[in-house]
Amino acid sequence: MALAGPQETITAREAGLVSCDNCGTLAPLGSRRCARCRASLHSRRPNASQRVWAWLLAGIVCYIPANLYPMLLTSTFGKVSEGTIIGGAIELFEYGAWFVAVIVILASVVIPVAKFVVIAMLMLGIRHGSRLSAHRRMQLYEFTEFIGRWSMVDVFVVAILSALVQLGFIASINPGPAAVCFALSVVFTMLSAQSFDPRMIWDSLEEHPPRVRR
Amino acid sequence: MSDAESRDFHDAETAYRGFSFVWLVPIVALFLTLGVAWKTHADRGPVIEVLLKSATGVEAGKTVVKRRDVQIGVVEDVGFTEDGGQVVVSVRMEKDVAPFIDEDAEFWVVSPQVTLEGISGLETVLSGSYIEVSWDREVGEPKYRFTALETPPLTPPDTPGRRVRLIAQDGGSMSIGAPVFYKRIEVGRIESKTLTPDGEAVVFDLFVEAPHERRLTEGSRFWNTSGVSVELGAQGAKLKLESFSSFLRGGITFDTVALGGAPVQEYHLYRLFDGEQEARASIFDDDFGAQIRLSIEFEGSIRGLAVGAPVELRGYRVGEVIDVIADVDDNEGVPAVSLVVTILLQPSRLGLPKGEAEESLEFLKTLVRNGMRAKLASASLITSSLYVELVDRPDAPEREIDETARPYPRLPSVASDLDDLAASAEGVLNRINALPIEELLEAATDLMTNVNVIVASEDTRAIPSGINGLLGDARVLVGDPKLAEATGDLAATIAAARAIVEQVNDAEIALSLQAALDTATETAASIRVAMDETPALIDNLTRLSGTAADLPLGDMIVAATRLLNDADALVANEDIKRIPADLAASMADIRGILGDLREADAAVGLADAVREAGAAAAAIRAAADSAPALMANLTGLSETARDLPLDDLIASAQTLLQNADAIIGSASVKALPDDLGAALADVRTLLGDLREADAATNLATALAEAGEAAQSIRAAADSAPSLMANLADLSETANALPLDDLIASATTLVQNADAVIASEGIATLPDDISVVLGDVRVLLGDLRDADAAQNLALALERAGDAAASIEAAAQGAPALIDAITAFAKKAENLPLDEMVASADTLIRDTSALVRSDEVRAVPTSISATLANIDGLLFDLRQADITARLAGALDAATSTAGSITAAAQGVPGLLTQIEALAATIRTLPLDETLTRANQLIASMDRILSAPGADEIPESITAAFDQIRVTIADLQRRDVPKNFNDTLISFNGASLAFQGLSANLNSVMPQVNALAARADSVLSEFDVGSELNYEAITTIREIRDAARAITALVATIERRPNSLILGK
Repeated sequence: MALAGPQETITAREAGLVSCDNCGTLAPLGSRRCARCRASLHSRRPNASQRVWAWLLAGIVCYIPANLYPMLLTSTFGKVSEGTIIGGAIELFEYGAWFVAVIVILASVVIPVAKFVVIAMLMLGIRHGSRLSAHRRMQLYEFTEFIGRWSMVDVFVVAILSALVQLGFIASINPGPAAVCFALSVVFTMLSAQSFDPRMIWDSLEEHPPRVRR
Repeated sequence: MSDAESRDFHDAETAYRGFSFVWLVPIVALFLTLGVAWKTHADRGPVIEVLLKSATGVEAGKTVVKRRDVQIGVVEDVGFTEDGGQVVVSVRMEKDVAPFIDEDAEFWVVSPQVTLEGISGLETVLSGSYIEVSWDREVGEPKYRFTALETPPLTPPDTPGRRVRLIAQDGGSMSIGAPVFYKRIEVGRIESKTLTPDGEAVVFDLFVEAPHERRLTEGSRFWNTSGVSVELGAQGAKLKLESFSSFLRGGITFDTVALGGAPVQEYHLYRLFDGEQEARASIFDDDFGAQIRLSIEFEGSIRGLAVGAPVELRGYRVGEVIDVIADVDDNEGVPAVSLVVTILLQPSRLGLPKGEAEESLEFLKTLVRNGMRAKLASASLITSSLYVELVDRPDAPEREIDETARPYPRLPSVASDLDDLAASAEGVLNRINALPIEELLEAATDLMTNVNVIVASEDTRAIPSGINGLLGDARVLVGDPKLAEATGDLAATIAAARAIVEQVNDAEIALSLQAALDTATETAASIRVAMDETPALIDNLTRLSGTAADLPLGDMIVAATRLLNDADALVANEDIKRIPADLAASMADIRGILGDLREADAAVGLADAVREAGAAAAAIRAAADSAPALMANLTGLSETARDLPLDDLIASAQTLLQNADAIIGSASVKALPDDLGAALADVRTLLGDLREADAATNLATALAEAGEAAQSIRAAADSAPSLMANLADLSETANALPLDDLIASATTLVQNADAVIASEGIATLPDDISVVLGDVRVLLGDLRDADAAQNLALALERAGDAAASIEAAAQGAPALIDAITAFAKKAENLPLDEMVASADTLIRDTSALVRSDEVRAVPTSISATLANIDGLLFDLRQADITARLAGALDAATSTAGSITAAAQGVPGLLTQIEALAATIRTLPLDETLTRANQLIASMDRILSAPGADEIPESITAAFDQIRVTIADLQRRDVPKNFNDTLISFNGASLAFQGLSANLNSVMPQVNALAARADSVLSEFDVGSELNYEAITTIREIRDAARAITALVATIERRPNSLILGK
C-alpha cells in the first residue's frame, strides 16, 4: 500500500485550516467555534497526551481490584460463594462451558488488557516512534475505540443476574465490589481512548519518520 | 517555514503543556483502591487453627464458623497436623470477635443429630455443617490453636446457673445429658460422669440453670429417679415414673428436705441417693446442727430392729438407729448380755436451735424427767421390722438420762408390748385357720354352677331382646304424635289462659274482680256448706226420678184423654148452653137481694164482722209464720209419699177414671144439665122467695152473730201458733208413721171407690145429685145473706200477706232440704218393698171385698143417704142456719189464708214436681193437649153464649186482680224463667242421673277443690307467678322428655349397656 509521505500530503493545519471534530467542516485556523455546528474547534486537542495517560492510569488502577475482589456474590441455601472474574471463567471452563468462558475471558480480560496495551503503545509510538506504520496505528486506534464498549458485557451480565436471581435463601446473586471497579476501569479506558487524538499519530510522523524497511 | 514550524512547535508544545486536572482521576482512583485494599487487609481477623478428629462436612472456603447463628469466620484451609494425626482446619475469624477467642473458647462441629433429647442441627442438612464456637464474655489471652469438642457442650460457658457435684456408689443408669428435676420441673442436666481417681465412686457434675440454682442449699438432697421406681411399703405399692426422658436416659431429682440450709458454692459436693425415701430420710449427712447420739438398752428380743430404723416421736421421725451392739455387763459377778442400741437424734427436727448440742441434751433431759421413754414398736404386722418410738409415760417411775453410760448417754426404755401383739396376731391367724374355707368354697362353687345354669338358660338370654321390645314400645309411645299434640294443646291452653289473664290485667278490673271474688268466696263457702248436703239429696232425687219414670203414666194419660173426650161431649150438650142464661137470671136475683141488703142497713154489721175477720186473719197470719216448719215436715211427708207404691195407686186411679168416664158417659149424667137448669130455676125461685120473705132483717141478725163468730175464731187463731207447732210436731210424728199402711189403705180406698163407682148404684147417683143440687140451690138462696165477694177480697189480701210469709219461709228452704234429706235417708231405710208387697196383697183383698155383693149394695145405701142428706138440707133450710153458714164462710176464708201460707212450702215441692215434670214431658201429651183444646173450645162456646156477659162484677173484679197478678208475673218474666228452669232442670237431671253414681265420692273432692279454687283465685290476683310456674313446669316436662328420648336412643344403639350398666 502506498502510504502518502509527509511530503505528499498536507495537513489542515499546514493549510491554515482547522477541521471540526464533529462535522468535519474546515475553518480557518484560529477559529474558536465551528461555523456549522458551533462545536469548539481545536487544531489539536489540548493536553490530549496528559489526558490519555491519566485516564489510562486510572483504568489500570481500577482494573487491579476488579480482578482481586469478587465479581459475583452467589449465595445458595445460605452458602455464599464469591467469584472473581478469572475464577468464574475457570469455573465455567471446569463445567465445560468453554464457549461462555471464552467470551468472559475475552470481554473481561483480553479486551481490557489489550486496550491498555494498545493505548500505551500508541502514546509511546507518538513520542518515540513506532515500528508500525501510522496507518496501522490508526487502525489499531479505531479498533480499540470500537471494541472497548464490549468490555461492559461483564458488568451488564452482573447487573442482569443480580436483578434476576433474588430468590432469597435458595439462591441470590449480588454484585461484588469488583463489578464497580471493573465498570470504572472500562469507563476510564474508554475515556482514555476518547481523549486520544489520532491526528497526533500523523503529527508524530514528522518527528519520527517511519522506519520503513526500504 | 519557520513560522509554520514555530506554530507547529507551539501546537506540539501545547499538547504536552501544563498540568491537566484529569490527573486527579487516577490519583483518586489509586487512593481509593489502596484504601479499600488496606481496609480489607485491616479487617481480616486472625487465623486460628482448630483440631478435629474428622473433617466431616468441612470444606475450605465454604464451611463457616458461627456463634448463635451469626457467621464470624470462614474455613480457609483444611489440612493435617504436622504429625499427620489430626485434621487441622484454618479459620479466618472476624476481627471484632477475635478478642474473645481465648482459652475459654470452645469449638465443635454442628451437624444433624438425632438424640433422645430431640433432633438438632436440622438446618445443616441443607447448608452443610458448620463450626460453632462459644466463649465467655471475658477477653483473655489470645489463643490460636484449639481442639474441637467431639460433642456440643451441654451447657454453654456463659449460661447462668450453678454446677454441683454428686458422689454415688455407681453410675446408675444415668447418661450424660440426662435431666435434673426439681419438683418434676427440668432445671438442669448431668454434664459429666466420671470415676474418682481411686475408682471407688462415681462423680457426677450437674448443672442447674438459673434461677433454680437458688434451690440448692445445704438442705438439698439428690436422688436417682432413673427408670421406674417401685416402692412397697406400709402404705401399699407405689409405682413412680418421673418422665419418659428420664425413663430412657435416667435422671436426678433434688428437693429441699431440711429447711434453713445455707446456699452452696460452685461444685458443692452432695451424695446421690438411690431413692426419694432414702434421700428424705437421710437427714444426717450434713451437719445442720449438733447431732445427739444416745444409747438405749432394751430388754427382750430386738429382732427386726435394723440399723437405719427410724426413731419417731409420736409418729414424727426425729432420728435413726445407727448401731446395735451387745454389751456385756458384769452384774454382781454374773456376766449378762444386754443389747444396746445407739440412736442419732436431730435436734432441729425436734424444733431446737441448731448447733446447740448442750441445750438440746438439756431439753431431752427435761423430756425424760417428764416421762419420755424409748420403746420398741412394730412397723408393720406382716414384716417383723421394728423401730424405736419415743413415748410419754408420765406415770412411769422417775428416771434420768444416764450421762455416765458408755458409749453415749443412755435413754431409759420401757418394755414393749410386742409380745402381746404377737399373741393376738397368732390368735387371729388361728381363727383364720379355723374358718371353714373349703366348705365355703364348695358352696360358692355350687352357687356359681347354679348361676351359670340360670345365665345360660334361654329365658335369661331372652331378657335383653324383651327389654329391647319394651324399649321399642316405649319409644313408639314417646314418639306418638298425640303426645306432641297434647303438649301443643297444653301450650295453646296456657297461652289462652295467659291471654285471659292479660286481658284481665288490661281491663284493670282487678279491684272489682277482687270484690266479686270476695263475695264469691263467701258464696262458695255457703255453697260448700249446702253442697255437703247435696249428694244425698241428689241421690234421693235421682231415685225418685227413676221411680217416677217407671210409673205407667202413659195409660193414665190415655184414660184422662178419654175422660176429657167425654167431658167435651158433655159440655157440648145443649143443656149446658142453657146454664149461662140461668146463671144470668140467678145473678139478677142476687143483685136484687143485694139491693135489699143495702136497704136493710146490714152494712154496719157486715163491717164489724169484716173487721173481726181481718183481726182473725192477722192472727192466722201470725200462725202462718210458723207454717214453714210445718211445711218442712209436710215436704218430708210428701217425699216419703213419693217413695210409696204410686204405681198401683195410679193404676187404680186410672181404673177410677175409666169408670168415671163410663159414668159421665151415662145417660143420667147427660140428664144432669136439665136438672141443673131446674136447680137454677129453683134458685131463682128461692131468691124471689127470699126477697118476699124480707129476709134482710134476719140477715142483719145473722151478721151480728157472724161478728161474734169471727171474734171466737180470732181467739182460736191466737192459739193457732201453738196449734201450728203441734201440727208440726204431729207432721213430724207422721213422718215417722208407717205411711205404708196409709198408702195401702188409700190404694184400697181408691180401688174400692173404683168398684163402687163401677157399681150400678153409682148410676143412680146423678139423680141423687140432682136432688142434692136442688137443695144446694136452696142453700144458695141462703147464701145471699153472706157477702162472699168481700170475703173473697179479704182472702186475697191475706193471700198477699201470705206471699210475704212465703218469702220468709223460702229462707228456711235449706233447713227444709236438710229435713228432706234426713227424711229421705230415713225413708230409704224403710222396708218399703215388703210394705208395697203387703199393700198389694191388701189391695187385692180389698178388691175382692169390694167386688162382694155387700159392697155393691153400698151405692144404694149412699143414695139413701143422699136422700137423707137432702132431707137434712131441707131441715137445715127450715132451721134458718144461714147465719152460721156465713160464719163458716168467714172461717173458710181465713182457712184459705192459712192454706195460702202453707203454700209457702210449695217451692220445695215444686222442685220435686219439676223432676216429675221432666218425666211427664216424655209422655204423649200432645194428644191430651189437643183434647184439652177441644174442651176449652167447647167451654169457650159456652162462655160466649148470651148471659155470660152478666157474670157478677165481683167475680170480674177478682178476675181483674188475677189478670193484674198474671200481668205482673209476665212482666217479671216468671213464666219464661220457669220454663227455662224446667228446661235446664231437665238437662241437669239427666246429667245428675249420670253423675249420681260418682257424686258421692266426688263431692268431698269437689269440696276440697272449691277450697283450693278459692286459694287459686286469690293467687290470680298476684299476677303472672302462676303463669311462670306453669311454663317452668312445661319446660321441665319437655326436658325430661328429651332426656328420655336421648336415653332411649342410647339404649337402642347399645342394648348391652343395660347389662354392663354403662
